[in-house]
Amino acid sequence: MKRKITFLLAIVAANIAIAQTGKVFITNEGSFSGTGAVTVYDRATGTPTQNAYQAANSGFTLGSILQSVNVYNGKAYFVVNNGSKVEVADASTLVSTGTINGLSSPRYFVPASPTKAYVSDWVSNTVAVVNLANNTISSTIAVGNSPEHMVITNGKLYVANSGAFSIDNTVSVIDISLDVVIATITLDDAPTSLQVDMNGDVWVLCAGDPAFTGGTPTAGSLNKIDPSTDAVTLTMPFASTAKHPGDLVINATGTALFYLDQGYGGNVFVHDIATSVIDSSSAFISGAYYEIGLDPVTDEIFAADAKDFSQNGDVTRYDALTGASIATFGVGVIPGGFYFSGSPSIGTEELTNAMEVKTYPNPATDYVMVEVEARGAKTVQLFDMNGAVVNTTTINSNTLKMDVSGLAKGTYVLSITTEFNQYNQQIIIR
Amino acid sequence: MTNKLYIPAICVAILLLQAPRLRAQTTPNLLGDVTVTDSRYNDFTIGQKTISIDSATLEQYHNKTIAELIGQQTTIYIKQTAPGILATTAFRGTSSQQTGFYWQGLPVNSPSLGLTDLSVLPVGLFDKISVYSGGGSSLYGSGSIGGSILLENRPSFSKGTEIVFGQAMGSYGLSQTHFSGGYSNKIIYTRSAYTYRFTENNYDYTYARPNLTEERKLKNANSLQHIFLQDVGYRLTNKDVISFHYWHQQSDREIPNAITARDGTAEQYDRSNRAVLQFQHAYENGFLKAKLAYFDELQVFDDPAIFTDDSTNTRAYISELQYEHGFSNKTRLNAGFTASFYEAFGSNLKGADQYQGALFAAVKHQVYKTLNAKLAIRQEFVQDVNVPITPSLGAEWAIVKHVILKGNVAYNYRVPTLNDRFWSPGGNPDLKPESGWTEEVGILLSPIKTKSNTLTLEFTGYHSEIENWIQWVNVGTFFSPRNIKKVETKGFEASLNYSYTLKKVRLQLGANYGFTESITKEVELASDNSLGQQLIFVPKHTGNAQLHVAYGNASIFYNHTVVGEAYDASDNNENSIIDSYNIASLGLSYTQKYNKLSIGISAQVNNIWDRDYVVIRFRPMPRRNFLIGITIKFLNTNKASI
Repeated sequence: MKRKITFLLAIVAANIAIAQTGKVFITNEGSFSGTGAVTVYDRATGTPTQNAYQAANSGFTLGSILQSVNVYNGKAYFVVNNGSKVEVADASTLVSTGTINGLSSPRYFVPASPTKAYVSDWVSNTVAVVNLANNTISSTIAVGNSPEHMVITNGKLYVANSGAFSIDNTVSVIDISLDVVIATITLDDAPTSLQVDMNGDVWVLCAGDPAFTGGTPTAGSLNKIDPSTDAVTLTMPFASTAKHPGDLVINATGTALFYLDQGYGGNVFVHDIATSVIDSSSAFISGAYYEIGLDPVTDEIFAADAKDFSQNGDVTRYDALTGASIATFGVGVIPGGFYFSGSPSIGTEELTNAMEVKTYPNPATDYVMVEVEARGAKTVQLFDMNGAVVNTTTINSNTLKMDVSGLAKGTYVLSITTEFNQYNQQIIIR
Repeated sequence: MTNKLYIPAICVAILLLQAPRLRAQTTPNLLGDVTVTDSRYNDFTIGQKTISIDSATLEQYHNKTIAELIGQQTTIYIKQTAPGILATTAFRGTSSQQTGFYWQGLPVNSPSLGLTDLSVLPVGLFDKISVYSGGGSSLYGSGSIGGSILLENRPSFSKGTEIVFGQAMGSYGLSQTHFSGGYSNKIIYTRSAYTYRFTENNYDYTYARPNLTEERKLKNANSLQHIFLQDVGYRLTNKDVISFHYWHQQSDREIPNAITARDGTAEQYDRSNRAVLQFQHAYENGFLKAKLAYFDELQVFDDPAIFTDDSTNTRAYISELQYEHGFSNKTRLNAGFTASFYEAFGSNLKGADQYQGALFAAVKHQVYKTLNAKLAIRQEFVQDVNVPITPSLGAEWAIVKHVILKGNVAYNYRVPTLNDRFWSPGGNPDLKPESGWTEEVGILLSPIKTKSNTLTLEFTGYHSEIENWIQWVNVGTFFSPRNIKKVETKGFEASLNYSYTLKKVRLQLGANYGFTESITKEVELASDNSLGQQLIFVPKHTGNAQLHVAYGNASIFYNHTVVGEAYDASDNNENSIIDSYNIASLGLSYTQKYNKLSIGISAQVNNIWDRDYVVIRFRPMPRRNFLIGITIKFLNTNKASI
């Protein structure tokens, strides 16, 4: 565990270096007729650009109900829920490069390797396996009812089966090398979102059953799963059956969880991963936020206000440490999905390397060769375990031979930053 | 059940009081002008703008829907998904729930949704369609804020035998079959009518996305209706008529998705049965009228793609007693009460029921020879809802010959729907009615006549404030209705009618223009940017013009409709503009008469300029399309028995 902590700390330090650069994508669901749009927020200027996809694609829109976005390997994947597709665009220019069809009601896109990603498909009760080489669905994996958020850790994909159209109370665990469900973990009703903390544990937020059309409402809970055994190591029920929390996010260091006390319209509450009791006495941030995101680069909470669900909403940034409001900027109609450039891919560092960065030798003695498959300028930085930068080089080519012969023996973090992504890898020098 | 039947029983009792007088058959004479129509519309709407739809226009739209008629012939905006799918009104800048719809003088807006879908109502069903602009709550009650639309069956005695068969065929699989048969003499009338309407709606539109532009056909948009109407009347005495009116409507539709979404899979089935039993006692100076009605509506919505299978069943038990008396030639009074019970059952409606009742009175008085005025007042009582008392005062003054000045001030309201109050989750039983004042002034120049020319011009300005406007707001996980908005509407309407007659030629020219400003004046949250903005789906400008030329039995018409820009986001942001559109239709008709038989044929080209347009973003409407029809009428009025 110690190794993991220091690694994460080093990443935070690396992130500070790019705090003033990079972009945030915000997806705005839009109306059912299809007014969903992308807002690109520029961290350097603090200003949003609205309708960025339309501007890059001769006015074409993405489709009906733009649910979420993720970026991988220089491509942005826009999940269009009611359009039953994922639209693929170049992450730098947002120019359309393709479409992943054959889905029914997609919610979230999680990459696993340069050739594979997973898409949770709400009403078909499946997770689709996408072949990223040709943007087609190679197979589907049956999971529980209405899969929502997913997370990869420890070589496994954890899928929250929210049971939106019928009751479910499980998390499906999929072995990502075999694409088969290897475990089904039973929790409280309506697991919706999950996060991996600094210790590598998986946290699952259950909303509880609101019992809209009959039956007895149940309370939600916050749960911890040990991914090495898939055992539930902690369950903390919420007191109220009237409120149904949602939208679990985690801070940059992986030590504090944030969630809405009422999903799709609530206050932001915080939970320290070291404690085993839910403190629901006071809100961390008061409001009626539709969705929240956490910028791991700046450690800020982005809280989306959808207002009357017909007009342009706004997003307020809050300091994740103090809860202090920083600034508010305008977005589109029903803001809900976030992608923060420079997000460390917790739990997927091996895969990140396999994807686009090759480093060798590791352990190294005199030099490290870095090969990056990405366009544009790349900033390659080496951090020591105290978070201090020991080497910074900017390259436009795809290879770098970094001299490490003068450095002390030990563990370092190599961080490569492009306009839209940041990759971190541990390097041992001996 | 006993409770529910208690109220209607009062009316039955009143009917029975009349019983000793029934059967006293004498020669009918003075009943000629007393019809089953609701006189409150005709006599007590003084000061309000009324839109009469003439018989030639009704004939033109015989094979079309009321959505098309209202959208193309008036300045009322129709929000529509696709033909035959879902069409609702925005009357003088108000919401679709703020137009009152009445059949036989009784409210037919869905008790659960609070609105009427005009896309499934063929124009040919009804004998009379009248449109009354402005607030009518003091006369009719809840919902008549923007205006009222009245649909009537008006069969009458002594007409003989009438048999009508009509068949129309149109583009995109449109087919409408109409059959009606009626008989009447001095004592009875009976008429049965059946209409079948189907449209496949598989019309073309252009689908475009980056690197792809192709022609596609609209999918999942079939719309099918079966409608049956029955009227029976029996003259008990020369003064007393009992009649029964029944309207069965069944609609089976696919609901298409926006073209930005997956292909639609939703289906909606609607079935309604509406029955009115009416007793009318007429005398020289007035009448007494009692109505008992039972309205039953079922709506089933099923979308397998999202596991939704909802059904809602509403029932309304309505009774109404109305008395009208003319004290002199100058003064007339109409007063009465209603007592009703509403209930709804459904997947999301449990224990949804309410008693309602109302007392109403209206006086019409000729103040001077040139000045008529009316004063109306209504107090509705709704179980657990405080309804304000609603008065109205209107006047019409003929300042000089041909120039009439009109004015009306009215307080109006809309009671929350059963969905608003009882929907699970979110229903809010504590909602207040929407309410507010409406004022209008108008000048009518009518009719300016020469030997062969007739010209009518009317200009109207109105203003209205609606408080406690109900809006469903997000309360986290679900939505719930709240009385949070205040809306101010104001506008201007101009209409022109000109006709020219020379021997066998009759030319008619009509034009209407409406300017509508409907602004959100109060919101709940400071961050709500809808404040000060135009309501969504309310275009500022609507207009239309019609030319109709008849020569003997042949006629030709051209209609042109312009609908201005509207917004689909409440903050009117620059991306929310829905483009204006222009559509026009051209038609020909010819009628040949052979003694008792007449055969009419018609051919129409709709959207003749082949415009691509939408009313709702990404929901294309049909391009140029065709409609042909034949109507065969047999009329025998020569029987001695009539």
